[in-house]
Amino acid sequence: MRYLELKIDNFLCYKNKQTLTFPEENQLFIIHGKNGSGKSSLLHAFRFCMYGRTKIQGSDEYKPIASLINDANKTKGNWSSTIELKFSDEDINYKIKRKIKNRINKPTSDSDFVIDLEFFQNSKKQTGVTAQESINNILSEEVSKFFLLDMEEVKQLEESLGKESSSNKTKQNIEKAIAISFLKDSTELLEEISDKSFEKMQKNKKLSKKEKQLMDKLEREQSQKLKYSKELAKLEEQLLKTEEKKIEAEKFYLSTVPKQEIVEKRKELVNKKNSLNDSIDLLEKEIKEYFKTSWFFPAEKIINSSFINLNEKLENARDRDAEKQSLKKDIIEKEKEIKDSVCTRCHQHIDDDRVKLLKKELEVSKKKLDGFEKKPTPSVAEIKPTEQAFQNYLEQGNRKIILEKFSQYYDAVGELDAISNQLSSVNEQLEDVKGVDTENAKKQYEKFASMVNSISVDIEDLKSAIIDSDDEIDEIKKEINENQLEGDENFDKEAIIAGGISTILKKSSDLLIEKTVKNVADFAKEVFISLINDPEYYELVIDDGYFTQMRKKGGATIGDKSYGQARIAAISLLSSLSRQSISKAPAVLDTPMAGLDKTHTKNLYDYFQYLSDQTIIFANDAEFIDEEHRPIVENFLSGEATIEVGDADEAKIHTGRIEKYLKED
Amino acid sequence: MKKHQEQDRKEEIYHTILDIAQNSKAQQIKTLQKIIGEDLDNLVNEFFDVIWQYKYDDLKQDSQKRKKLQSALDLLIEKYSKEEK
Repeated sequence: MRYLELKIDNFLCYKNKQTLTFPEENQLFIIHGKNGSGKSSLLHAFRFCMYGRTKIQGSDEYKPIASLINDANKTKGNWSSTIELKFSDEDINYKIKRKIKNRINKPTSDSDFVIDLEFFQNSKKQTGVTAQESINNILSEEVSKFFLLDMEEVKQLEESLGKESSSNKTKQNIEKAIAISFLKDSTELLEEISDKSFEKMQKNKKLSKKEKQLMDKLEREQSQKLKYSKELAKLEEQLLKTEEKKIEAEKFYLSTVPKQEIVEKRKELVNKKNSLNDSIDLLEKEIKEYFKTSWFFPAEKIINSSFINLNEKLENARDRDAEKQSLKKDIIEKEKEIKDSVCTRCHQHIDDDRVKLLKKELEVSKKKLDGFEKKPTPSVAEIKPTEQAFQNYLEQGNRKIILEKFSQYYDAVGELDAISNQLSSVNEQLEDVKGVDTENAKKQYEKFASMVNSISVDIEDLKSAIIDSDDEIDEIKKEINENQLEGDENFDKEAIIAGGISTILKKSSDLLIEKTVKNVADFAKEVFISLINDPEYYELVIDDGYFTQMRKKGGATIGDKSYGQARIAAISLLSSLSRQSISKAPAVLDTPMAGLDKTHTKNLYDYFQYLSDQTIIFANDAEFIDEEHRPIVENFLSGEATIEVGDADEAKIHTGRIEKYLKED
Repeated sequence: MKKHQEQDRKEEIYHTILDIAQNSKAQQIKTLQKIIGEDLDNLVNEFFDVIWQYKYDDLKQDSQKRKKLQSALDLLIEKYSKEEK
């Protein structure tokens, strides 16, 4: 399969009709574009054109159809979009044309749209469900997950296969890609047919006593096996759902860990604050006590009023600080509301009058903040009464002691202020995460993880019970068959044919899985060696459950792979899976170089000549450095295009690499 | 590099199945070999052609496809069970 042309009209950031033509020679096609220029929109266009839907990046949800229409055109009431993809496969030319049309004036939900599909094989046209089936026969949506990829998906695949209990869904997709699942499904179907034929046969004939005994035994065993199979199907479905919940719970738990750190920090600060308050109270008491008991002159009133004065000033300073913080927050909110015309609290649209009012209020707040900035809050050192205020009342001998106490007192008050500031910032951070409980999130994750383990154990038990049951059934059938073949010719060919073919398919799929996984692993290892910076040092290991690990040669497992290492491991695996797959689609990779170091980037550019007959990659200016990377790819470069970021959602596609559209602002 | 990938894979799977059908010593397969005789290669070929059409389908989820495949398999079984050895 080779892509020849992609046409898009009124799709995401492409306001007007744009055409991307892919030459028929060479392997690598590069689409250059700045960040946010519309590179990923092209990946969505490929997917949407082929399957009528495309997922939100990093999510399992599909993009709402309304969100696929160009924003600028939407506001003018133009809700029709067309995507056309031409490709060839085994010397046949194909074209897919998918057209989105709105049913009503202001469509919002998916049901407000109609999507027309036309599929042409040379000049033969198909529409609707038949057309979709034909597309799936060329490249099914599940298998396309190994060919049309953004880097988030590469990361997910790598993560999923890096866990001992790698996701069943990923395994299923892999088995679909390497054409194993249809063998398994057909085996099951033939087993059912065989069992039914056996039952039918036995009902229609007179049985000898021995045959009757054998048939009863067979029936019992078959019903036992059926019970196990039903339970197994139920458990497998339960496992898939529980695994999804486990992944969600794990993500949520991991996202709460930093929040837990904030909570811990807050606890620590509150404790410090309480202990400082106690010290301050004690010091104040000690100082007052000294003036009350050790001085002949009644200085108590003077010292009391000094403390009252100091506390009032501190209180004022704290109030000013709080007001300043609240003003800053208010200004940020108002600026956002004015910019988006949306209320930050209720998320409703706000009209022009309200915007005008907000602008006035913003001016006032800014002036007030300016006043605060010009007259900063005094520090404790500036507020505190000077030593001179007291020194007349201090005896020479005691002066040093009492001044030290004062100094301790002021230090504690200063520290208290600093901690109060930290505490208010921590409290602000906590505002966003109210109600989040890491312990509960962890418990929830552990609950699902243990459920997954226990379901997996039950599944394994059931599978081995089914194998035992199968053996037993085989034995009984063998006895029945021998009996029948020796006795008369009245045996049921239907049951024997179905049973025989299902056994052949089962044995074949077991053998093919073993062989294919070995091939996938061997090839991925080879690719890995050609891509990794230090092949003498690292190796990739893949077991028969597709569990993937990177190791130091000699055996030690790498705990945390670097970003580049993880990406290289994932690309090696992908490359191998796409090679073992029954489909031979081109690889379309959204920014595969993002975050890779210089050497890995060069290795990967060099590898693109082997990845597929046609590889289309998206790259920004930092990911494709002309003088560095062109010499590597020029011998197998098929073509290039550049995306120009236009005004108001009007991206344009130009042939070739055009420097002026690639400079980041 | 990938020109005949699907064809290659198809042939690999087919030959694996045929090899097991011809050489396996499993009881059920032996019985099948005995009653089908020389027709074994044709039988495997026809069964494989039918199931290969469903290589991309999810038969666990798609009950219509499953029924369609089941009818096709039933027909083949009926055909071979009526043939004389």
